[in-house]
Amino acid sequence: MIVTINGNERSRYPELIDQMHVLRKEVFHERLKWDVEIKGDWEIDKFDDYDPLYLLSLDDAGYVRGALRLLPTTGPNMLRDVFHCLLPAGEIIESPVIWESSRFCVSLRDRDGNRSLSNLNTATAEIIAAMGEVGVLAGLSNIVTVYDHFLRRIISRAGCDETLVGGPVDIGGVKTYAGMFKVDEYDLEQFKLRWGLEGDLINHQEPRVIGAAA
Amino acid sequence: MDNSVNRLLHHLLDELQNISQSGDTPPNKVNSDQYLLDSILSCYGLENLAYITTDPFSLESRDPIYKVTYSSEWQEFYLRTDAENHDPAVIYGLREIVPFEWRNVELYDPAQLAFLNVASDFGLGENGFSIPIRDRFGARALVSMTISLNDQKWEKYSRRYRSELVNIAYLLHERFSPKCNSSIEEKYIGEDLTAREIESLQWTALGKTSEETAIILGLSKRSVNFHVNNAKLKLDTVTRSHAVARASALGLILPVL
Repeated sequence: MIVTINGNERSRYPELIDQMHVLRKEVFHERLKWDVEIKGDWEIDKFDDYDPLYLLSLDDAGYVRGALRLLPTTGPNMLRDVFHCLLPAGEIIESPVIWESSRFCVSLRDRDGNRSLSNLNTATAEIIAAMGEVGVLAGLSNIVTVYDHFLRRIISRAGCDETLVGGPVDIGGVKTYAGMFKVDEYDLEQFKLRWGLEGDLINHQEPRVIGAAA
Repeated sequence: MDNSVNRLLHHLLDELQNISQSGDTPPNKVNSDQYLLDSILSCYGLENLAYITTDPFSLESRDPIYKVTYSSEWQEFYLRTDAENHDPAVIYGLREIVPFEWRNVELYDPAQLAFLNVASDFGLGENGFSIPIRDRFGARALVSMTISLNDQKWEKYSRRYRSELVNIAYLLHERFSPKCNSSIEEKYIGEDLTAREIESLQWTALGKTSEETAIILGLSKRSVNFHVNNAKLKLDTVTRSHAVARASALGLILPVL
């Protein structure tokens, strides 16, 4: 199941947000050994302060098993503010119809601590499809992402076509790339069919209660 | 149909470009802003268009900036009652990321519900749609559109034009936000400096006199003075040090540490 959380409402979902940051530490710090900021059990950086949109994949028991973060490229984002060295000199990606995804991570184990390939696959497919749905809702043409070889392989194995727009560049000992994905409703439907995903993934949530929280 | 809309849009954007480069005086700018909004309305068959931004960096004015096509009665009512405090599109929208349809927002606050009732009395269109914007300066804005289409037609319409409307929303922000606007103007300053003018200015920045610069560049002292004076004019500055400071701030010459 997918849950979307708007960054400015993080405090309303303390458990899910906690599980996401713990998973991110496990994946990026411990497993992939990226040079990321660690605070206690969490991996968290300044882009989490810019009210991103989080997509979380929950398992049947309601625990976070995968996550991804989306930011518009017109505002602060990683590719422009941190990884501009990935793009040819002087080039920037800044468009109202291109967003950036970052911190895509999926747990390799299920809740009982067993390695679970089906968990990994379902979470990956679910998050990619949800990202496509957000793209359609937001009228996007593309989503750009900064990733390493390992993530690239996961995403391409899931059946996503990317166009390499930058890299590889060695950043902190990690071969880093920038890739561009097309947002296309037809491709999205095909992708969901292939993975047996039915209905809207991000629209099932209860209507937003505003005013009550303000 | 798609093509004609695209053509219209491009025409509009060209015109917008001309307007922003012609350095209009404020009253003309107000008119051209209104013209731009009205053209978008007719181009896309919208009922109303509203732009609002809050600039986190502007200390002197905490008031948001508005550009709207709503009726003057509605605008008057809005300003008189400080309605942005109860306007759900604004309260909700400035915090949002993903464009949203008003009908999907569920309200519980009585003040906001009352606001919507008044709004519908003013006849603001059946379906509303808001596009949140974030820019590179950290400012946020919201472009809202209303249209008189029933849900089914609106569904089709929105599918087809969403991307274009998102692009337009951002263009409006670039034009109306004070920060974006001033940075666009700054970009033009000094862009026409020649290589000689930049070189002469660079040596001036390093403390060289015109005579010394002339020797270094293999020019006459007169030529160096000529280049520096041209640079002064193009940078809209009055003294050499003023010109050096601005050229350095604009990144045209290397800063002297």
